[in-house]
Amino acid sequence: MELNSEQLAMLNGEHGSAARKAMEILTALGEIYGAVDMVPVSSVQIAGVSYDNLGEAGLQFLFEMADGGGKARVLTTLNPAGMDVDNWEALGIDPLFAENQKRVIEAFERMGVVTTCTCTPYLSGNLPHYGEHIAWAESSAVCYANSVIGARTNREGGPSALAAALTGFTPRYGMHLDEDRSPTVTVEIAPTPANPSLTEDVRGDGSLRTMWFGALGKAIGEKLQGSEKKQVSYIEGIESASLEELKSFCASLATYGGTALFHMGGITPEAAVMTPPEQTIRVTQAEVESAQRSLGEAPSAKVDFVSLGCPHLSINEIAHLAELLDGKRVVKEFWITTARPTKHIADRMGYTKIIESSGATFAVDTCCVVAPIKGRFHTLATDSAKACYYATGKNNFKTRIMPFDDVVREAVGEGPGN
Amino acid sequence: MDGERNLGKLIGAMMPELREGEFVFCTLSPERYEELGIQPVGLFREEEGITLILQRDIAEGAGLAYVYESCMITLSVHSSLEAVGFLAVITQTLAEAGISVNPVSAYYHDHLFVPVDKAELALEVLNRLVIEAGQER
Repeated sequence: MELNSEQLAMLNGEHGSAARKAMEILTALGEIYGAVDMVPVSSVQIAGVSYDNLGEAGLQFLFEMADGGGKARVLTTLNPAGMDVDNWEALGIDPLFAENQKRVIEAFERMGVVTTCTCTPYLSGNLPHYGEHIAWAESSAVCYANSVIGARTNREGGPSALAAALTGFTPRYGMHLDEDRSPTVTVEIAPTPANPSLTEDVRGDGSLRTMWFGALGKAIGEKLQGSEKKQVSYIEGIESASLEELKSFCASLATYGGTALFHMGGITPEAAVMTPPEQTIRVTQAEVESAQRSLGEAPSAKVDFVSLGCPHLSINEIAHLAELLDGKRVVKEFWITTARPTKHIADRMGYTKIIESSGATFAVDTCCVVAPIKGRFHTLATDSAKACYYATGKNNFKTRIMPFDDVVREAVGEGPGN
Repeated sequence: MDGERNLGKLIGAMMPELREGEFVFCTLSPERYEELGIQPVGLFREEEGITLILQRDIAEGAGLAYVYESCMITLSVHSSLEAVGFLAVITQTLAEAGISVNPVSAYYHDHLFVPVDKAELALEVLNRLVIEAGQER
């Protein structure tokens, strides 16, 4: 790999031991993936922030980097932590875990990382522009940045994202290259008159279509999984998609298809300059419905945990939620997960007061994927396909997936899982 | 035979976990081992002597000479002892990243001992294999 003088100086330890270690990680990855050189990045998103995932060994690595003079050279934000950093007691988090989680956040602070703790950095001040090279971890945000924004990032891991932050570089391969961003397969979404929910702009009752886009992401993701090489899909047949729907779709497609990039005709920016490939696969409404059924594996289970905010809720979703909860009483553990800056807006707008008066709990900085809640609940109700994957695989919950509005009905005791 | 054998599934589900502490490799006679009464994480008997894999603190406490200061990464998937090619993929990928590795396959899991200063890189490389297999952490 070709390194310039600045990068060589880092590798030789002239910028401290943390920068050296970071450059070692980046050059080793560059060698594996055949990168010719490094590319400067302007934004980093670090994952692996929850102490539940990091463990003591991971925390020691962060201390080593902070002690070694590690300082973020570009705008760097964090993925969700294992708890609400301010309000962890209300979530039933163990004090020892809280102590360790705070040590993690402090280590990042020492390195100049902005500790927003969200999986939607693009909603909280870390919004790259079209064509910008970045180094993001968090698969849903990677998929969103590449596809919806048109920025360029590989799916980084925790250590490689931190290494990019401390050096300002990442090896140039994969999603940073034009040739790897071209679509390899066209995906045609086939609507049926009986259930046009995928192509209709807004459902008749005005509710959010986040669940349908999650199910669609799973249906497409699993079809792409069957092929030998990583596919970049060119999706046709979606007439409109809101920010929230794309956020849900990206999370699901990344979880079930390992996808870092897709193009969507008429919606994502690079689609306009790409040609849909001849090789075409069709996704039918029946397949989307089947994906949806497979996500709610416990159709008759009694729901004892309800959560919205995977990925973190936008202010638009919180406004809608406040409208639905106004004057209602929540009868189950109901977590609303979002980013701290979004919560501040909700406070100012009076949404927080309405939501908390109903008995729902804001779980800011965290989410039900990374919080240490394994085995604590029996059945989760959510609108998120990604949340279902982790609820079953990581936390041993059963799941029921339903539209956003129905999740709220479930929480107030009016849903089918009561 | 219990345990997963499908290679793609094994890699996708391997969930590498970096364990706390540093480990070392020692060799000593069976008699000396009995005398010390220490608890290694791994033990292998060869004609030349016993090999111990143990926490560095324990080795130092017992006054044992040691080599290969390493971190232990446990692959949390329950792999079949009869799985074909699983460790080959892992050791080859680590080799491409210039990381030496001593793998140990126990009944339930595979454990990788990698040099202390390469532990995070090894974890990153393994997590990318997981991502490429279509599963994420």
